[in-house]
Amino acid sequence: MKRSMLVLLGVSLVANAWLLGRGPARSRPAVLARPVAGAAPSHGVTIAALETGDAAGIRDALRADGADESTVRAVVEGVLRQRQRGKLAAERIERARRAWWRNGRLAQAGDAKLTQERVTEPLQRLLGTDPLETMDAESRYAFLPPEKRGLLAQIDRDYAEMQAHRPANLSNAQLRAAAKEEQLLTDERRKDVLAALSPPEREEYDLRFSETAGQVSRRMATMGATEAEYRAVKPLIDAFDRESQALPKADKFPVEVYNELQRTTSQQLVAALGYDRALEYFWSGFDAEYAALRRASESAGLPGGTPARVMELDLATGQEAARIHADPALTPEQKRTALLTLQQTAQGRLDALLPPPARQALPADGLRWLTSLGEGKYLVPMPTLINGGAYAVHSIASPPPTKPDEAPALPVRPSGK
Amino acid sequence: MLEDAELLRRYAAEKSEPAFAELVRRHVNFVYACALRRVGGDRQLAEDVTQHVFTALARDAAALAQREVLSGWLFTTARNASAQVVRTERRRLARETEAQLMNELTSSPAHDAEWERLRPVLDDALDGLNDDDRQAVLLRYFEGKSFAEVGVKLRLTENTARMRVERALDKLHALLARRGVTSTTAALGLALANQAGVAAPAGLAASVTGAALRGALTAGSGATASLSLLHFMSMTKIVTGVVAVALALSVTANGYLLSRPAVASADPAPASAAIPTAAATVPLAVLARGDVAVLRDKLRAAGASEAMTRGVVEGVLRRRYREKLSAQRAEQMRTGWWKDSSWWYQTSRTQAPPRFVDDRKLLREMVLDPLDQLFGPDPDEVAEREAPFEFLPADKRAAFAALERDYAIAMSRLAGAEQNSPAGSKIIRERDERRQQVLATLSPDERAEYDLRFSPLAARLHDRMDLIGATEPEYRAIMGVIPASAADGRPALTAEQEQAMARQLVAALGYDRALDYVWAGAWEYPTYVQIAREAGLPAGTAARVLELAAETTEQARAIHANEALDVAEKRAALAALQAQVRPALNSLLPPAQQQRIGGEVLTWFTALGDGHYRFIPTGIAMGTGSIMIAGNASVETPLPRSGGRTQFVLRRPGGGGK
Repeated sequence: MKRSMLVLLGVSLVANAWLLGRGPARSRPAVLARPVAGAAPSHGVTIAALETGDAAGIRDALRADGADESTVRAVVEGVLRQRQRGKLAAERIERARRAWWRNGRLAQAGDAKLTQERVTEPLQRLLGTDPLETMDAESRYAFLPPEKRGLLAQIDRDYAEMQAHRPANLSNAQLRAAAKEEQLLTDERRKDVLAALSPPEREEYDLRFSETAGQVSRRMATMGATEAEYRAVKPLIDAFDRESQALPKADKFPVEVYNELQRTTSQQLVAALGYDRALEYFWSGFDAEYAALRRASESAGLPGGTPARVMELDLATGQEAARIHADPALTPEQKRTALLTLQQTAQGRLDALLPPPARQALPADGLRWLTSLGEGKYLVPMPTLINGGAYAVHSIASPPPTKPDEAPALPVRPSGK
Repeated sequence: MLEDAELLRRYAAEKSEPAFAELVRRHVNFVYACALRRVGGDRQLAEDVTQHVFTALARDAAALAQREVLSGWLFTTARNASAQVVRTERRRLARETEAQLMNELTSSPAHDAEWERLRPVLDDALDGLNDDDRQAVLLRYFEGKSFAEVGVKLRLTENTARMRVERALDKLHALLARRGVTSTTAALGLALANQAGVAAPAGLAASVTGAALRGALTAGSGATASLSLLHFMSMTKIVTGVVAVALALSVTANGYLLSRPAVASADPAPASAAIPTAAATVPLAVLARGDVAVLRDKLRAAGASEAMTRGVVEGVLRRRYREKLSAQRAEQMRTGWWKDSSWWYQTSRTQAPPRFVDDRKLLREMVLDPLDQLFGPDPDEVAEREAPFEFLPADKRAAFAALERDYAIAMSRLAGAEQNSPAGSKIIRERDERRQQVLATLSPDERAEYDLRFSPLAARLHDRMDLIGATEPEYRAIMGVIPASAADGRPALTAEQEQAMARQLVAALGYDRALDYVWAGAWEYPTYVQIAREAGLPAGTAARVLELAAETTEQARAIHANEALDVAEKRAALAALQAQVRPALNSLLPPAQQQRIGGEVLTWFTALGDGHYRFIPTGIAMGTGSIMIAGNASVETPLPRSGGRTQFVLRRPGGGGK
């Protein structure tokens, strides 16, 4: 059997040699065809090349077929994603079957990382940096000269890569070495960035990317601020942040000094923006509530200051409820009744500011501060200068708080306003 | 007749070759038929795949013996092995010559028009069925079982089995219609019925049995599929195989050189001839810039698999979306950089370099909706959404999966801010109403199982279960102890209730596991677990350390509350307490490991020297993950009312302290 096969093989090879000697082939199979200088481009990519699932092979086949890099990237990414989705779905299904009682947020935390490993990183290896990433960096650093935009984009990429390879899990942040590494990366990146920029460029850079920039611009978006307003507010908030960070921590924290710092900064904000806009700055820290009020009042054609006025009513109502709660002369039943009366009063004032038709545009829990009064509860909004605002929630069924909820950051309304 | 599982158990436990041979005899035709379809009718490849499948079966017998029904596993393994063989074959063909479609089918179905249209797309369509439906079809049509036998296998009555098969056939019919194969469900059933008649070549069962047993013995547990395939072949076979392959290549080259085909046509094959051919081409460079529906049709017509077609189309759509997103963000930066609040940008300004983050609404509009319109729901996604509801019958499972999918789609059509609007509230309300409707159809047992998985309390506990590596019985025991109302703390649990539950937990889980459970609610727990694991310390270390911390804090609080002491004496007493606790801490967590811990984790111990102490908050039903630094206290300030003290004490059975 083997001998006969060897004989046949020999015959076949001789025939091949003869056939090859007849002259060059007229064409090559299209599969994985490489472009030949001067040759006309081929007209397709074979299904076989695609179905291999071999991303490098698909890339080469597409390039050989004359596809532009954007198309190459699109198809290769699509193939990688398809493969990843199938794998990830199988893994998730397995998780849901085998350990459904442990399949919570923690168990799913690694899924995004898998997409990074199976799609983003292979794409980077196969096709290099996505030109759209460069375009994003260009627009992010549009205030810089072109060569520096590219440099900063490169710094971003380098550090992103280092960050991506750090293990991320719930407990890592509490490990000394991990925290140190995180700090080191942040510091080194900042050093690299600053070294690339001239002093005026650094100033513009910090205006956009300093510690406080994210928080301030978030409020600017919520209150619909102008660039001039941002440029006026940002240095004041930076100064407040610097000074408050320098205060002693924990049980040594000087609450009164901090409150005074807030009051001073508030008045500076009023001087810079005017009282009404400063007030909006404060209340826009409650971005969900404030944004919903803004949408509702704008769609009803109400005056621009309406959302801030409603938030003021919210605060006044919460403080009055706290006073009722703390009143030792009242029984729990009397307190409950007093809260209901307060609810009716607040409702009347709210109707004047934001009539019921306009309130239709609010989410279901958009007026929780008012509705909860009927349940024996009340909310006190706590506006801040930097971080988002928060509500203190109390129930008259519990003992009143030992310290009243204050809002020292809020500017004092000028007389006549 | 012995069940498959029993045969597998016998083989796994006793290495019983007759048991394994019986398994091969039962299933060889089925596996061979599956493989034959997947490899385009190549008998040799189908035999290789069949051997591979049974080797894997022998290798994994112990694990697979838990399965009541083997068909699903055999089908999946045959499909995967076939895909690998086909890929390898295609690469070879692509390198050496134009592919030849080997289209030999063994028996009459090959000549049957219905079957000819069905064959290329059948397995993809079978993949699209959920497990229960696929099992039903495979048992009925590919193993030739009666409805009664299908019922026995799937633990259903004969009538239910009949309904299951019919429903599955309907679904299969719909899936095939999407792939261009239209026929009546009855015709489909007839065509499928012939599959039970596909027989493996004579002698294959015997050779497969021998080879599989040899392969299973020699293949390591981590061996790759290709390595496993090699184990089938003796050296003689390998030499013969090499010569045969060389001969085949050479002869093929003869054919190629003689015919010298021109470049393959750019025109796609018509849909009715959608049989994958290595030579069929698609002008992707051009098509990717045009209408995606055309791109889809051309890929399908050229024989691309549905998965590949979807992948390519998705890639093109995503690229367009990404381009638009970059352009939008550039415009946003140009016209309003000071109010750019897209968090992809904000959160990364200082802590990390900028990262790309999707705009969900735009992604839905430009990628996900068009994909749904072009292809219908992604089978992977459907299967994934149904998986958590596997404890339910297929119809209820599908109903839950559908309502969750509809909800996710509706919400993703709203921009971030719009979700907190009446529109968002309406979507949530509708989802809740639909959920209530489906819940109303559940039997009490089903409802109990549903609550075990999806109640608010269950959602709170899953992470905690993950942290302590709980078993299912442990989870069920814990859920039996804690009332559902504990999930939202309304009404708040009293100290007496928490104490009673702590006792019940110890009774149900044993003291050590109850301790793990309780302390897994503390935010420090994962850090101690990681440190202990990496240092090879005992499993319960984290809970023991936290137990020590809680005991220490109680003593510190007593010192703080002691009115007979002045501040200096209290400070001295805390320092003494620190010295007293140190040996116990060191024995649980050696100093080298303590050194690795940063942040606030160890301050319950380290701060004692500075006159401070810290409560370790946890709760019987509290979730985990939120960092709570609250509860710090200093002997220089008034005694806090409660801080973050726990309200319960775990008692070790048989006495002892906490």
